[in-house]
Amino acid sequence: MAYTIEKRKDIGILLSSLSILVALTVSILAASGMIALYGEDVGIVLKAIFKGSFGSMSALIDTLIKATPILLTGLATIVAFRAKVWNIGQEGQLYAGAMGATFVILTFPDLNLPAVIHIPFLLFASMISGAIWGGIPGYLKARYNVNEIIVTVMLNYIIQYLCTFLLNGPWQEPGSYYYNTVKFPESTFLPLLFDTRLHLGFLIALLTAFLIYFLIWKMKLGFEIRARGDNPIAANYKGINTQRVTLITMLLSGAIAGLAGGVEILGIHHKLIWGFSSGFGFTGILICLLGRSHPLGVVIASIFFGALHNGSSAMQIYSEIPRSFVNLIMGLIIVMMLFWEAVFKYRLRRIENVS
Amino acid sequence: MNSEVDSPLLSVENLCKSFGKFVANDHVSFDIEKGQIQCLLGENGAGKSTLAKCIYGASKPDSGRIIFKGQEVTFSSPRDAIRQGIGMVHQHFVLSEPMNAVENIIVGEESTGAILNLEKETIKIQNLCDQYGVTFDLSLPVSQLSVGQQQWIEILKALYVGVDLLLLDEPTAVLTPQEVDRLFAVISKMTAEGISVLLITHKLHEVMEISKKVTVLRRGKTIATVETKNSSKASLAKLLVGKNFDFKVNKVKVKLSTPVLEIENLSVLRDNQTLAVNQLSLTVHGGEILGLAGVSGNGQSELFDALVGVRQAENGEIRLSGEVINNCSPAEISNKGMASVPQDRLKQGLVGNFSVKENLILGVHNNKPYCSGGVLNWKTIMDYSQDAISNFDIRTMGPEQKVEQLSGGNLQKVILARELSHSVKALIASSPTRGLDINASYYVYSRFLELLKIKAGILLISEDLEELFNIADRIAVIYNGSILGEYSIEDASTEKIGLLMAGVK
Repeated sequence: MAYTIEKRKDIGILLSSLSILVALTVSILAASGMIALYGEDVGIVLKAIFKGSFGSMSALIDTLIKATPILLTGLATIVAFRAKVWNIGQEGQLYAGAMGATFVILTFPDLNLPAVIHIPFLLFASMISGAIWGGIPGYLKARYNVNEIIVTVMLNYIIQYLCTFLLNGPWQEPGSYYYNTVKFPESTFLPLLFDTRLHLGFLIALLTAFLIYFLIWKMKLGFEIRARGDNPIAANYKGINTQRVTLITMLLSGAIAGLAGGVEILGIHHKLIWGFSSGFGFTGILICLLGRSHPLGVVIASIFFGALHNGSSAMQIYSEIPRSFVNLIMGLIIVMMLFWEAVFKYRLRRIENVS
Repeated sequence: MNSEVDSPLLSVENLCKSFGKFVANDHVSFDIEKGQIQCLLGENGAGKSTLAKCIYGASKPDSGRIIFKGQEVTFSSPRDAIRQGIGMVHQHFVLSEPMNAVENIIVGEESTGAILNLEKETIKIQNLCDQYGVTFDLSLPVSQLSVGQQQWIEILKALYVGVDLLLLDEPTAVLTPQEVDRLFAVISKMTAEGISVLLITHKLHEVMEISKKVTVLRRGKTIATVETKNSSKASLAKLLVGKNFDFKVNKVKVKLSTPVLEIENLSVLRDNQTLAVNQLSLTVHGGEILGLAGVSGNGQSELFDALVGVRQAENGEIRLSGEVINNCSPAEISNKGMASVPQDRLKQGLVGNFSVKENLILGVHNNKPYCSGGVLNWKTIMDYSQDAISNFDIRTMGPEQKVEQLSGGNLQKVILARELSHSVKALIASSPTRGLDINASYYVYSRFLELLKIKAGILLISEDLEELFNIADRIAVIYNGSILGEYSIEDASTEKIGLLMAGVK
């Protein structure tokens, strides 16, 4: 009885989900193995992570708070990646958004607007800022076919250094030794939900997820984005202005990443503080890939990652394992997911030997 | 006992090869005698290429036997096969363009040693050329040679090593009629020298012209192996298709109306900035099919691109029903009534990852009723898709199926459904039946003919002369980017067109 390996025609939702489950299972098993090797009790550690992420209302709130910025950057990535425009600049666009909102606040300190107007205005400013930072590589790509990966990555550095400069200079809180601005006025604070620490940003992110779904699959622009991504040549022949789509995609992607920056500083820190982003932009890229470039997948993936981060603090309390172990788990999950997705694309087939 | 002379050179017994659930070769069996020209006849999709790959070592059959020169053989690679005496000339050549003929032929030869001195090899190759009556400069780089000459180098590769059986895969697809005659002369000489030739083709007239025996494949099975002298085009067609096939095209001469497409002194550049289309002028009237023949590479693709708006015209004018469309965008040109069927279906005409219904609106997705206020109306689109699927007999699991899973014929039907569902003034079609089986091809022709009834005009760019003679009203020939000559269908002949294709006025 001979067997052969061949590629499946179509992977389908069932097998796709199964591959994710297998990947998670294998990752957890491997992580457990590592915990045991370290000398810790696997059960205690896993329970600690779970308790820390979902075990109480407070834990759940913290998980959702941590999920918010990466949910938004993940959505920003969906827009770009669906068009196969490789935006790696979410981190920089996020900074641009935070700095844009900060700029408005610091420039107009005595605005005295009611929160209902002030906050949307600031979020809008952060979106515009992110859009501009995304529009630069977008324009260069559309008009001159400049590689967007290089430009977006470079712009990440530029804006982060600019931010450091400003926080150490004109924007620094007078008398402070640290790189941060003055505290923002209360009218800029994102309202908290249900008397908890969970700020409005989470709902904004969920709403954005829904809007992105609607855009990509129900709107003409989304259709053109997907067409450009899947076959830019045919898209061109059939009348889609692929350059225009490229630019709009980067503007949108930048805007959503900028929104993530604005939401984070207006919801959590209430000031622009150096290091407010622990790589949210880059994590967003991973979230997008894990969520298979779909808003629902990104929502789930971002909550999952938020949970892991949250749980890692508890894990550190209950065991000797350092928080950074959670980064190892995340890396493992990503590799496993890619691996098992590839494996499930093939299958074994029996060949009958007819004499 | 003369068993050596009597037993066949090659014997294929019950060869099976599948790809997943798809059975490409289903218990294929046939023989080839020594020193004979045999044709392997089958429609596109019948399994000829798969079978050829198994015979010449590129593919391993799932089951069955191949017996060559009296011994059962299994080849580990094409190199292994050619060493044992079976060679193959592909449809798409695998030559190194900057190198010359000699270099291409000896590449991979172990006998040449580490330090190259190609004198001996050049003489041997020159002798082979003389033996077969082929002359050209062996020192020229391949890029400067004609397609016919390049094909000869591919054949030489096999003759140089010394094969007993040579497989030729659709060799005449890229040749002018005169080059086809030369190729057939060479093949005849080969068989006189004792080399067997297996000619893989889907063209009935070739089978009748050159072969002694023909093996007919249909849907992966060997239907029959017959002596050509006992067959006719009609009898072969019946074996090929499975029923009596009427090759006649119901062409009713339609009274011509005003020109729908006028191309005047058009010049278009290639990507490398050289002139592909050079002061070309053509007129297509409503109600006629103007065929454009020519060897590929003489500007057809760039002409197509300019007509649909994907490439800028450097010079000249294009008018659609009198309106100048030179600098309009592809969307505008399409909306003005220009329908187009591109050469490469999955690359230029469809988004493979999109569903059937998404492809059916590609290009018109901006228009009412499919879209209003930037939002797509999926219900309307679904209704339209279901109509199109039934109207155009598209074999698919439904409007949601990804188009890349469809067969070539159905891909073309999706494109036709899309292009013909909206008002058409002129249609430009480039190699529309390439890779399609007979039924699908004739379906395409019938749809084209219907267009003529509503006074649309068709520009049919094709390398298939038989197709042009079948349905065109006039045939023009493109050579080096301009029209070298034109004949009405009554005046045209294969020889006349062939000469124009080769650049002879």
